Amino acid sequence: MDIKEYTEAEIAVTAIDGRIDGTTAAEAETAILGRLTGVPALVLDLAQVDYVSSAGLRVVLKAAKSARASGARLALAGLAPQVQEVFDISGFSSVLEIHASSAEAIASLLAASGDGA
Amino acid sequence: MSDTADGPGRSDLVLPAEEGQLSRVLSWVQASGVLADVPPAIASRVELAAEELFLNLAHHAYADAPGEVRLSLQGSESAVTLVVEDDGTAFNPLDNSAEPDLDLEVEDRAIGGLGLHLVRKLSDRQTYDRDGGVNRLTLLFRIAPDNAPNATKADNPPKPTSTRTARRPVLLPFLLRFLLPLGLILTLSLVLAAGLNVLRLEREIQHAAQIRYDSVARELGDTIESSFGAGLSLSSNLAVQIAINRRAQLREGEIRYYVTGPDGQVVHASTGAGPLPSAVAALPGDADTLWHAQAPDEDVFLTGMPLTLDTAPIGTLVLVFPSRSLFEATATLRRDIAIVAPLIALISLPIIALIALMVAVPLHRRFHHMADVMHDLADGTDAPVARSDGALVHAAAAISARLGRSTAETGS
Repeated sequence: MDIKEYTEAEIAVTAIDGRIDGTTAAEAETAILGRLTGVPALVLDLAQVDYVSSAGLRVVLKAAKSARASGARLALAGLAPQVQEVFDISGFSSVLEIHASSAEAIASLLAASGDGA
Repeated sequence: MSDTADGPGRSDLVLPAEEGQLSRVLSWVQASGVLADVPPAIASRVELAAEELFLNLAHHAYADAPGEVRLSLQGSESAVTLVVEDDGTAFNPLDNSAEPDLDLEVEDRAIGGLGLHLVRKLSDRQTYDRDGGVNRLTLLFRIAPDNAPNATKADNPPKPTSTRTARRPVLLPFLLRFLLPLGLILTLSLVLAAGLNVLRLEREIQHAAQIRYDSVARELGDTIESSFGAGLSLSSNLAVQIAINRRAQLREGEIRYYVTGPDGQVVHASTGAGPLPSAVAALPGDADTLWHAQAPDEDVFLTGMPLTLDTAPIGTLVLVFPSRSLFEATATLRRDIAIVAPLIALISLPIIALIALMVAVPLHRRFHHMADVMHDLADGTDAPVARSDGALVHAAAAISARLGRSTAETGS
């Protein structure tokens, strides 16, 4: 698993490349929760993730809870069909903000912060 | 501990039930030849099920004691079967674990409990059995041509095989279910309204008769009371007879009168009056004011007046007015309505049917067109292929028919 962190248009993006399963979930969790503490909004780009197990879902759930607690916004982007399926079956799709691509997610977060200002 | 791959059809893995062994499970699934030709979406589900079940056993099956997990993958053209065995405590993951509440908000969700839910949803058939201390869970993943996930597949009805479903006639049921009742209700309402009007007319006639006959009754009643007071016999009281005769000349026919005693028995009647109309018996005898009644059976109106002598009741004067012409009028009205009702029905039903045709026929056609478009979309064609009678089509049909026959012959 390869984790890339960057900022685009003042929006923090964490892009994960690889699989989020029971063996890699801890690494992803550390990276995502760590990044989330310092930013008002985070895009989690999963375009390069082709496998997410319940361990991966737990990481996303923890991140979502942490974001809610700190008032930050969390947006997921670029879910592959088989990943989307897992999110759908677990019911996560209805409670999380999911966009087709990281660009869309960034645009959405920017529009929201623009409204707030 | 062994890790074998017995050709592309089957692969087995036995390993300790420890969380740290997960990477071996995952690489075993990925490297297994069983999933080589399986669509990636299915392979991903199999891998996820293997991970979730293995982790579940690693955490719960042996309660910190060492134990082993046996995994087996078998593939066929139509399905992949994953068998997971352990020797731990009896546990059926299909019903022992509560379904997680998927509708909760993020804050309310419990972390965990999702793995087995995913397994149940992502596999097409789950079988659990416990056999001599062994928990065995067998999962079947069907390799469907469209790769539709289990969850959505179950919700979709099977695709219709024919491009056109049989068209049911719409007009006749519409006529029977909607128009016929509507026509009947309209006709009944008209008849009922007409009937109510007849009743009202009768009441008005009666009311007019009351106004008309009250004065006669009062005049005669006063005369009779005074002759009673004078101790004169009623038959010899000329004043009464003169009053009756005068009234009769003014009205349409002979007015009859009866004087009954307090017991209801007739003590005096006008000449040729006949028996007291039976309708009188049904009326209250002790009424202390003028009363009116109608006896349509005998075509008469009745007016009664209590007779008193020094405020003591001495009997009742009953006047009977012939009203044949009035009753004939209302009877004619009733007859007319009875005749007209079927005519109304005969006229209104075709009109309603005509309206229905104007409204329903265009709808009917449009529905058919829409249904056709939907069927075509479902079949992946944008428009129905026009049937042509060209020579090429005939030739193609003949060839396909011959081919079909020859295959059937070789088959049998």
